[in-house]
Amino acid sequence: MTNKRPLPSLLKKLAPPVLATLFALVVASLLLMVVGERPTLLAEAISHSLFTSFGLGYTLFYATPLIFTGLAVAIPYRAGLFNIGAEGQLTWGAIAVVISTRYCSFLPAPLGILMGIFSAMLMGAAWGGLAGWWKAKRGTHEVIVTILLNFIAVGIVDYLLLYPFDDPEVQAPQTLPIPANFQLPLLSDLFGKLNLDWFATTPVNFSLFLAIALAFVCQTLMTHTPLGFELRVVGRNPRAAAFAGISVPKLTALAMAIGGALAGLVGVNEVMGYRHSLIEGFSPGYGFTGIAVALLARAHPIGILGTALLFGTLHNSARELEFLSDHVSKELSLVLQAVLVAVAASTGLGDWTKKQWAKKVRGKSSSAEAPRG
Amino acid sequence: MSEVALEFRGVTKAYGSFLANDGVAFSVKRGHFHGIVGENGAGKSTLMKMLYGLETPTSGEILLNGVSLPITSPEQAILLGVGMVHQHFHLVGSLPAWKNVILGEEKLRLNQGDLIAKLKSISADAGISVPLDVPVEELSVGERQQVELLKLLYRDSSLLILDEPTAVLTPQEVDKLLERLSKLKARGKTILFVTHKLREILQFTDSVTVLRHGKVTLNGKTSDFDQNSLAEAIIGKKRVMPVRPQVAASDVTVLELKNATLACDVKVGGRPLLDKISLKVHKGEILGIAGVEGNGQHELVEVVAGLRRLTSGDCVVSGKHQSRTAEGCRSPQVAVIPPDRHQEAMVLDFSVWENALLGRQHDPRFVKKGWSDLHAAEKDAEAIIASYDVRPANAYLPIRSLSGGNQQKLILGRELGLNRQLVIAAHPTRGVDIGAMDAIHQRILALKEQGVAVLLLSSELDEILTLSDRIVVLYRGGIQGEVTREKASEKTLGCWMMGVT
Repeated sequence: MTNKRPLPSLLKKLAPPVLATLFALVVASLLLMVVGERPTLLAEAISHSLFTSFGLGYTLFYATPLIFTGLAVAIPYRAGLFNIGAEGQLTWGAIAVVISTRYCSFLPAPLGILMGIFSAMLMGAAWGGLAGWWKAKRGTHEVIVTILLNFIAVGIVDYLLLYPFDDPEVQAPQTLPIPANFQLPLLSDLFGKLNLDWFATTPVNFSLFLAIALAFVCQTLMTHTPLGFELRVVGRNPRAAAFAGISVPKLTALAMAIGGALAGLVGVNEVMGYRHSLIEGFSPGYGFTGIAVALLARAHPIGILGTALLFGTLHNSARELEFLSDHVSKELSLVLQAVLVAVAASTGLGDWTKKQWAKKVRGKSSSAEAPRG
Repeated sequence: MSEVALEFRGVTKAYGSFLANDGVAFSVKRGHFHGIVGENGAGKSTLMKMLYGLETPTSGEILLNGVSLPITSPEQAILLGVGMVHQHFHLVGSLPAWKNVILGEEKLRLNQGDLIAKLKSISADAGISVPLDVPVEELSVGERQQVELLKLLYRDSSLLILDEPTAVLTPQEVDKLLERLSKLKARGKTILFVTHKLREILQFTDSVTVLRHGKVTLNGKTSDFDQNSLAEAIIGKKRVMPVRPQVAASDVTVLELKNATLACDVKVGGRPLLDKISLKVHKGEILGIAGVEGNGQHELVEVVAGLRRLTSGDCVVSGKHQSRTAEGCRSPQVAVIPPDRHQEAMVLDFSVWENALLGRQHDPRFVKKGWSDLHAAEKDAEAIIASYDVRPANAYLPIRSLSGGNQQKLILGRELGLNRQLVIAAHPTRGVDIGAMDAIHQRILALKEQGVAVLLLSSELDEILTLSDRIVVLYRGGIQGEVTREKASEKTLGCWMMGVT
C-alpha cells in the first residue's frame, strides 16, 4: 500500500453533473424538434451565450447571483442543514443596500461600496441566522422555517418598496436611484479603460469578482480552518461533534448565518452593480435556483462556480432562443433546469456511477478493500 | 454414521489477492463442544459463513458427516442440519417467540397448540426458559438468544454454530448458556463456539482451533493447552501481560458526583436514568463501573463528559461544576473514549487523520495564525498510528476501512494525547483482539502513574477486575454496591449486576 493521499478523482466527481447536463440538452433539443424548430438551435444559442462578448457578458451577469445563492445553500448543507431561505435572505440583502445608501450617502466611493456589501451581508446573516437559532434553541426544522421566512421577507420588503422607499416619480414600486459613490463599476468600464470593447453594453459588474473570490474563500474556510472542520463534523455526525467538544447549536446558527450573508450579496449585484435602484420582485427565484446550483456541484464551493456558469448559460440561451425562434419562449430555460435537476437528483445515476467506480477500484487494489473477518 | 461431524479440507477463501482463509483443515467429532478462536480478521467469521452457505470457498471442501456437498445457501445448510446463532440476532421484534421460530414455514399450516407444546418440550429438554407468547422485543438479550437457540433445536439442527454468543450476556447468563450447551452436547449435538474469550474455551470446550491470518495455528484437545499457549497461538508471539504500576492512590479528588440524579424521559416512564449517584474518583485512581448494559452507564458518561445536565445533584470535575461549562458538548476538562464508537467517537466519512484531529482542531499545535495546520495534523496522526500500532498504517485512508480494533486504537491515542485530568473510558477494548487489548490495558494502567483519574466502564468483568482500583456496580441507574479491587469477586459483582445484594 502506498502512503499517499488517494488522488481525488476529478472524473468521478464530474461525471454525474456532466451526464445530467448532456441528457438535459438532448431532451431540450428534442423538444425543439417537436415544436418544429431545428434541433441545433439550442446549440447555436448556447454557443452565442458563451462565445460572444455580448452573450458571455449576460451569461456571467446571470451566473453572479447564482454563485452567491449556490454558496448560501452549500455552506449550511455541508453542516447538515438545508437552507431553502436564500430567497428571503437575498431580499433582505437588497433592501439593506438601499438603507445603507440612504443613511451613509456621505461615504466616499470605496467606503460606500464596502458599507453596502457589509450591510447586505449583515442583514442576510441576521435573517438566515434567525432560522438557525430557532433550530438550535427549539429544534424547529430549518426547511419549514426558511420557507416561511421567505414569505415574510418578501412581504416586508414589498411594503417598504410601496411606501417608505418608493420613488414617487416612477409608477412601479421602486426606490430612488442610489448615489454614484455606492455604484459598482461594470466590467465593460474596466475593459473600456484598456481600450477594449469586451462585455460592452452588458450589466456584468464587479460583483462577479466578489462572487468568485468568495467561492475560494468558502472552499478555504471548509478545508483549512478549524471552523470549517467543525462545520463538516456537525454535518456528518453531530453526536460525535458533541463528544468532541463542539457546540452543535452554536454551529447550526452560525452555518445558517453564513449562508444568509452569502445570499444577501445578491442585493449587491442587483442594486449596486446593475439597476442602481431596487424594484419589487427583482429576483426570478435566484434563491431556489441556488439550491440546484449547490446540489449539482455537490455543495463544493469551486464546483459551484461551474454549475452557476452552467445555469447562467442556460438562462441566457433560453433568452436568446426567444429571439431566434417564434415557437420558443424563455420558459424553455425552466424546462431545461427542471430536467437537469431531476436527472442530477435522481440518486440512481449517482449510485450507479459510484458502484461502477467502486468496482474499478476494487479490481485495481483488492487488498485494501477486502472484507475482514 | 461417521464419527466425524464436520471436516474442513484445505478450505481457502480469497477476496482478490487477500486470503481470508488459507488452507484451513481440521475436523470436529460428533457430540463435541468445539471452540474457534482468533483475532479480529483472523478468518473465523468467513469460515463460519462458508459453513452456513453465505459464502462459497474458493477452493477446498467442507464435509458434513463425511460427505462433501457444496453448501450454496443458508436454506441448504439448514437442510443439512447446520444451524447458526448470529452475533446480531435475526428476530422480528414485534412477533412472539413461537412465531419467530416458525418464520419461513408459515405455509405449512401448523397447528399452534401442537407447535407450542412441541416447543415447550424442546425447551424443557434443553433447559431453555423463555416466554413463547410475548413479543420478542420485550425480552432481554439473554432471552432473545434463547429464542434463537430454540429456533435451531426446532429445526433439529445437529451442528450448532454460535458466533460470539457470550459477548452480550452477564456472567450468570453465560454460565447458564454454557450449561445449556453442555446438555445439548450430551444429546449428541455438535457445537461450534466462536469467541475470543480464552476462559470460556478452557472451561467448556472439548477441542479447540486457533486461526491466525486465515490459517490454523493450533488445533487439538483443549485439555492439552493453557491460557498462555492459546494466547500465543492467537497473537503469534509471546503475550505481554499488562503490568500494574505500584502507585498509591492520592486523596486529591478529580471527579465527584453528589446525589447525581437524571430524571427519565417522559416517554420511557418510570424510574430515573441515574438515581442519586454519589462517587469520587481520585488522582491516579481507576474506578471501574460494572453493570449489565442499559443500567445507566451511557447516561453516566454523558453527564460526566458534560453532554447532559443533571436534573438534581452535582457533578464536579477538577473543582469545576458541570453546570458552569457549555451545555450539550464535551467539557474541556475531560477526555472521553465514548461508548458507541461509530456514532460518538468518530466521523466514518472522514479520513484517519481528520478523525485524529477531531476534538483538537483548536489545539495550538494544529492552528497556525488562525488557519488549520493540516501538515501538523497529518504528522500527528502518523505519530499516533506508529505509537498505537494502528493498521494499516496510512493516515489518508477513510477510517471506515479500518477494523473496529484499529479504529479504537486511534481514538485511544487521540484522547489520551489530550492530557486531561480525567479520562472516561467506556468499553475501551470492545471488539479488540487479545494483543491489542493487552496494549490498551497497559496504556490505561499507565495513566495511574501520570496521576490521571480514570472512570472505566465495561461490560466485561475481566476487564473491570484487571484494571480497577475500586469497583462500583450500577443497577437501574443507582449504585448497587461498591468494593475495592482486593475484595472483589466475580460472584458478588455478578449478583449486584442482577440487582441482588
